[in-house]
Amino acid sequence: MTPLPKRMFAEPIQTAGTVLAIFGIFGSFLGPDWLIAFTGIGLFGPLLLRETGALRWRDEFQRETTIRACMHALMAVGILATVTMATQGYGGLHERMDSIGASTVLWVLGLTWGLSKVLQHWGAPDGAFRLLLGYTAVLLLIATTRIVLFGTVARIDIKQNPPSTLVWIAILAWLLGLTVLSRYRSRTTGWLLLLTAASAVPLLQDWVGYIGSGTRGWTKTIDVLPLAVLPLLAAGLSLIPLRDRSKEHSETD
Amino acid sequence: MVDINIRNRLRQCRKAAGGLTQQELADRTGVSRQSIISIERGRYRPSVELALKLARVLGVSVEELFELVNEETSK
Repeated sequence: MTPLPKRMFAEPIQTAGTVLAIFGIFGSFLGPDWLIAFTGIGLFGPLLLRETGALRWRDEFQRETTIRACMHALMAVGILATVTMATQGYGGLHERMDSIGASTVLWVLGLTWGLSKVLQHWGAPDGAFRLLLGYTAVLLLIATTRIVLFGTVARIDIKQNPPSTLVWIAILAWLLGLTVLSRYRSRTTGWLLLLTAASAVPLLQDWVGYIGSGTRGWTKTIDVLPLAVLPLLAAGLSLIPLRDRSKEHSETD
Repeated sequence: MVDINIRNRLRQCRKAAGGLTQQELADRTGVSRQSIISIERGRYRPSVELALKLARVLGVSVEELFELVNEETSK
C-alpha cells in the first residue's frame, strides 16, 4: 500500500493539539481543575507521538522550530524555578498564599513554547509585528468589555483601582505605537518592549483583582502575570538582535 | 573573530526556473511553503538533503544556490 503523505497526518494532529491546549487553559481557569489534562494532551501529545516514531515531522523546518521552542520553554521554566527556589526556598513551588503554583509553571512553559513557535514561523520582525497586533487587539477587547460592563469612569488615580478609560486608551496607544515602530526600528522597539514588560508587573499587581478564593484564587491571580508579560518579553527579545530597517520588503509571492 | 554566513540565491534561481512559486517549489521538494520563505529570507539553513533537493528541482548546483561568506567582525 502506498503510504499517505506525512503532512496529512502531521497537521491535523498539531492543530487539534493546539485547540485542546487552549481549551484546557481556559477551561481549567474558569471551570474544574481536571480540564487542564486537555492542555497536557494537546501540548505534549504530538511531541510524544513524534518522539516514539508514531507521528512523522512535516518537514525539517517544523522539527527545527519545535526543538528550539522546547529549548526556550526549558530556559523559561528553569529560570522561573531557579528564581523561586533562590528567593523562597525548596518549598517555593508548593501551593500556598505567598508563592507560585504548579499552574504558573505550566503557563510559562506552554506560553513560551507557543510564542517561540509563532515567532520562528513568521520570523522575528513579521512575527513580532503580528504578535503585538494580536496582543493589542485582545487588550482592546478586554478594555471595551470592562468599560461597557462596569462603566468605568475616566479616573486618573490608577493606584489600587482598575484602569480607567483614559488609562486604557494610553496603554493601547502606546502598544499600537510600538507595533508600528517595530517595522522600522526593531532594536529600539525591542528595548522599549522589555521596559514595558518590566513596568507592567507592578501595574498589574495593582490592577488585577483577586480571582477566586484561597490558594487557588491566589495562583489564578499570579497566573495573569505571565499571560500579560511574556508576549511583550518574547517580542522584545526577538527584535533586539535585528538591525533597524527603513522599509520591509515582501517575503511572499 | 570570523563569522561564517551562508548567502543563498534561492529566490533568484526559483524565478529563473520558469518562475516557480514558493508553494510549487515547496510541493516539489516535500516541505512547507514556510520553509521556503524562511530559507529565502536567510532565517533558516536547510539540511544537506533539502539543499540537494532544491538544487535538483531548480536544475542548478548546490554551490549556485548557497555560498559561504566570511565576514570579519570587530569582536
